[in-house]
Amino acid sequence: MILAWCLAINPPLPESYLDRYCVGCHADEDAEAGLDIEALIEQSDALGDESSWIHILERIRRRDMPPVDHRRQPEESASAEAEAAIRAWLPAATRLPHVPLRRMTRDAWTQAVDELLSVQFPSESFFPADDIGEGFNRTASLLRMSPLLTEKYMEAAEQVAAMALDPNPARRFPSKSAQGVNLEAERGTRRLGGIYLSNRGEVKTVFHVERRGRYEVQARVAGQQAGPDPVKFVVRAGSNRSEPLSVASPLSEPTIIQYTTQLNAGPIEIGAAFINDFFEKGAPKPNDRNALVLELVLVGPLDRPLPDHFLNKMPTSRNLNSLRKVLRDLVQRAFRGNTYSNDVDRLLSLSDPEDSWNDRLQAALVGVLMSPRFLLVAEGSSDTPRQIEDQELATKLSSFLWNGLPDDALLREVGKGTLSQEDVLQRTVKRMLKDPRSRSIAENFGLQWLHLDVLAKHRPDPDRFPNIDTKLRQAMQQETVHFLDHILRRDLPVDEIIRANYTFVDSALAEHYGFRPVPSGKFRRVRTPNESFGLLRHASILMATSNPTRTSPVKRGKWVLTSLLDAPPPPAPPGVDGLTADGQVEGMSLREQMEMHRANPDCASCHIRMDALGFALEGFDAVGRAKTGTDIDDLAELPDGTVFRGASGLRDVLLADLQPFRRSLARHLLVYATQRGTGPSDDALLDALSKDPITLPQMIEKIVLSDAFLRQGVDRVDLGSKP
Amino acid sequence: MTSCDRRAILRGLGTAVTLPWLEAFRGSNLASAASSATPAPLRSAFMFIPNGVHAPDWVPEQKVHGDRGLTPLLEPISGQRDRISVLVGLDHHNAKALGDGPGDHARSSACFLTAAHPRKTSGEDIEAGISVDQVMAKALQGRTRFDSLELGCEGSMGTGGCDSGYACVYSGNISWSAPDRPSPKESNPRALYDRLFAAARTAEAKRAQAERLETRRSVLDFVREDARQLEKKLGAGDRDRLDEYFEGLRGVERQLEYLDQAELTTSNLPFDRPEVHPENYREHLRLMLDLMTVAFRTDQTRIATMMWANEGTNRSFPFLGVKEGHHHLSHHKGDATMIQNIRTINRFQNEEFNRFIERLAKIPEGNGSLLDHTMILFGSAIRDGNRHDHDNLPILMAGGEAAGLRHGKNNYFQGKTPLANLFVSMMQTMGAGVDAFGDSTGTIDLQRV
Repeated sequence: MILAWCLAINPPLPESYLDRYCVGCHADEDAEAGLDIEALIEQSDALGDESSWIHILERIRRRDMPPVDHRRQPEESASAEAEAAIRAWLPAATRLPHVPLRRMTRDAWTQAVDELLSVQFPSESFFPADDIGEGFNRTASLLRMSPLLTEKYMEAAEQVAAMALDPNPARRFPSKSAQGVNLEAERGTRRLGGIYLSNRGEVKTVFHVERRGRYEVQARVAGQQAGPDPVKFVVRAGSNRSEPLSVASPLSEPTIIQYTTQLNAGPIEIGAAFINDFFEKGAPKPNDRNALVLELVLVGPLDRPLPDHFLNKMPTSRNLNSLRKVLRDLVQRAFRGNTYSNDVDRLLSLSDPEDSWNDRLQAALVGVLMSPRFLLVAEGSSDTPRQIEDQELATKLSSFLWNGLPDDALLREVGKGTLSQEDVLQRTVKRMLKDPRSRSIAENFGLQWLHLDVLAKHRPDPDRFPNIDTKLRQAMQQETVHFLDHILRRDLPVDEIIRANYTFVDSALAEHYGFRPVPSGKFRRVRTPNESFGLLRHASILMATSNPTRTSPVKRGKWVLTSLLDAPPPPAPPGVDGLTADGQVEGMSLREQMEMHRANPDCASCHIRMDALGFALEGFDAVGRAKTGTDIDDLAELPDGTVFRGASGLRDVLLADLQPFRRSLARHLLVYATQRGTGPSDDALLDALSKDPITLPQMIEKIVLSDAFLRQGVDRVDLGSKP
Repeated sequence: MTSCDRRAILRGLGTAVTLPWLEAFRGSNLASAASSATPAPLRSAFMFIPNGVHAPDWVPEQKVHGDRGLTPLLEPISGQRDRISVLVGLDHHNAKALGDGPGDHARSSACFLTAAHPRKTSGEDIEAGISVDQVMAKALQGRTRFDSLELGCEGSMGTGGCDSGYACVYSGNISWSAPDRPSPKESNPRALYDRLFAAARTAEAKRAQAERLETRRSVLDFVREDARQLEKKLGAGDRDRLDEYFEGLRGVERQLEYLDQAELTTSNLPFDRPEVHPENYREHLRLMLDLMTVAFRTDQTRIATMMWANEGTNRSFPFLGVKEGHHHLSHHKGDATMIQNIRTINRFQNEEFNRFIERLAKIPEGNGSLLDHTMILFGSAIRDGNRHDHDNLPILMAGGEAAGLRHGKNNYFQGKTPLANLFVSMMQTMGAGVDAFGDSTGTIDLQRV
């Protein structure tokens, strides 16, 4: 059976290949990994299980099947021949995937609303988070509509329209609030829905300020009154402090105190400090003055709208033509150039001509925001793969490079019909990458690629790591964003990501790392003289891959395999569990316990590699600080016998063959760019992107210029799902 | 500080139910929209708990516990013993590996209400099955403001696969409106409150609202026309996806009708808008269950699902003294301390379930209570978290006596009885003409459960 099939395909698969290297394990009912190649071949003319063939092709392409310890090892040429034969035969290897109709992600919607109307809508607490597929929250097939979402879009559209038209600027920037777990304090107890301070102390949080301007800091507080004075607080934003503010209200009647100050864009620490503790032992009660902080709020910016703000374009007189122009411009951007000549008329017909200017605009804005041309994106479908249209291309480009809407310049190229010309496209990509909005590559792509979204929820054990607060956690994340953005903006080789001898720190992070102090405020580039291993020493990654109480070589190894090498280890077999939380079995070191774990052959095949890669990072603790002392156990040995030590050793292993690292970055970027999973039809592109040194902008440009980005495949549903 | 002060503060924060719960229902005009003229409608609620249970102390055995005896972990329901049935011996065959290897957690949640074997994928081609609540919702489509409500205490899950090569959507959803389409759940109590009670405004606000509704209607016409233009360039597959958008618009339209007629006013709501996202899990859970109760009571929906937490959750329960993660503890491998912690969690779950049932039973409706008009299924699609098995699942049922259900016993099902059989019977009782579902082999006599 196998033989006949091998010969029937063209070019023929070397007859003995599957026989000799595969079916020994992958056959019959107890086939390894449930993959029965003989059964597959019996049904293969129907290709019922194409995904299994894709999987087989991928394993042969990686040359990780047959496994290294298999008694027979194929010659490289035999594997190459087998790979070519399957590739030539398998329809999926040449079939361009179809990217289905999808809605915007929550992030993209929020950004679009801000771009169009200068409104910052609090989407995170309003919309459900987008589901993750293929490692990213923007996979087209998962971005579907639902009754819940449509209802929420309607509600949000009305609120956004009202905010956009509100003459009070503060309304457009909904206040940011921190309560409950989002409040932090060095002392104090969590009680009464807030943090209760029995001694002097400060309750604080960190907010991200999008724009420079004047802000009002509010604290909802109460006091247990005692002694001659009322409870007094000082409210703080960064290093700006209010005068002492008296709060006479009792615990049962919280009140709000305010302080207005100028702030710069970026993370800002907000605090409310209780400054006049009082306790008189033995005195008649009440003799103990204490304070309660329930909520910290940041309102603003309170300044006048920015010059490019929607409201500033509004006609001052009731002139219908100027209103039409405002709407026409808005529609052009919101619908990404996909406009009809009667759009403005139709939007104006949503309200009565007698209505107030405000009501007419409100109705029109809701119409724009609810339109499928705003909410949904589709490249459509036809019977054969096709080049996508320029308008679709502009949408795809701005989604990939900015996570936002196309700008006027892009839409002008669409209007001229020139966008898809290669030289125009190259110029456009360069221009877009120079634009500040391309920071979304580092911020949105980067953090998802590196699995750093978990950082926000990660809580290292406060007893062991008392210095880790929200501000420091955000600084860690920002370090990685600054770093990736730097590689992008300076047009640097992607290899720099794992061998750079510099990083970016603010004062808190410099202190955390034990670096020379840097002035507070901005992030600064600093050299890491003895540590040229880029991302590998970022606290963000080292902490996100640790347990709350200790490092986890397994998690770190898994991270290296998944993010950097794109070879995620298979899941642990059922019933297998990790080590205990604090990693302490009496009298055994972490390594001894893990070696015991690996003595189980089921575990060993994966853990040998995973653990080695992770142990190399043991020089850094669970919050990413370099360990001191002599008992650092960072020796690692790979299955092929390579022995190395420490992060520099790991870096050298990665640098010795950069192809897998580059390919991993390229493949993740391609998934992000195309909003679909990759398959064998992408192999040629990914090989081309990874074989030679390449800068990050070059990699991005080549993805944009590829068929994978520029062409739309046929939807198999439309063909009756027959391949 | 006195307890009175404390209550005052809580009221200010809105973290807790501020009006005495029952008084708000009893004799108040918070009546079901179906009003007293029509008989009270029947509802269904499905409750999911993650990570299985500590089965040896949870699942009764016929020889030991007989018809009514309770296991140590079920002891909290003894107060409502006559209102609750323990169903023993029901299986979810399709949650098993069936050649797909590890991933029992993802399969558990994905199979729980679909009785389907989910496709193992971490990517785009997710597929489970339509879930029992959604079949009911479709059968009742258009009768209430919301065809169904999907609730939870945890939001969507993070990056990457959540369990052994299964996409996170499997672990974070139990409700599926189509085999490839989970129905996203609401876990923010404030957002849920707003969804349910945005209509509850003062008379003045209602006039403003009337104008808003007028605009909404024209907007819906506008965007429908727009969507028809878009439809022209789409193939069949994409048109199906666009239909989901149309479906949403129909939902919004139904909202308009409801808002036109709604009799809710802010003064007769049983509690204030939750100002705070509760930090304490118990508060959060109770708030979600209370909101579900009010949604039933006001007939805004008749179908609801509630994920007490996402499958595989590793949350800790500091207020119970359980400091380690739930999932971590569930793999106790016989460690006595860990087992004790798991028991604490399971006991807590059953206490909260008991409390929920008790509250429903006290809300009068028709000739009985809201509980009598609500079929409630509670359980997990993993039997024991330490073993990842999917037979003889921990399942409780309550309510629905108005539809003939009878409770108070342990019901032992012999041989291999799919949980899906129960779903078929529940669907039939709700009026969905379904003969088979998932791996069902028949029905279960609900008079018996």
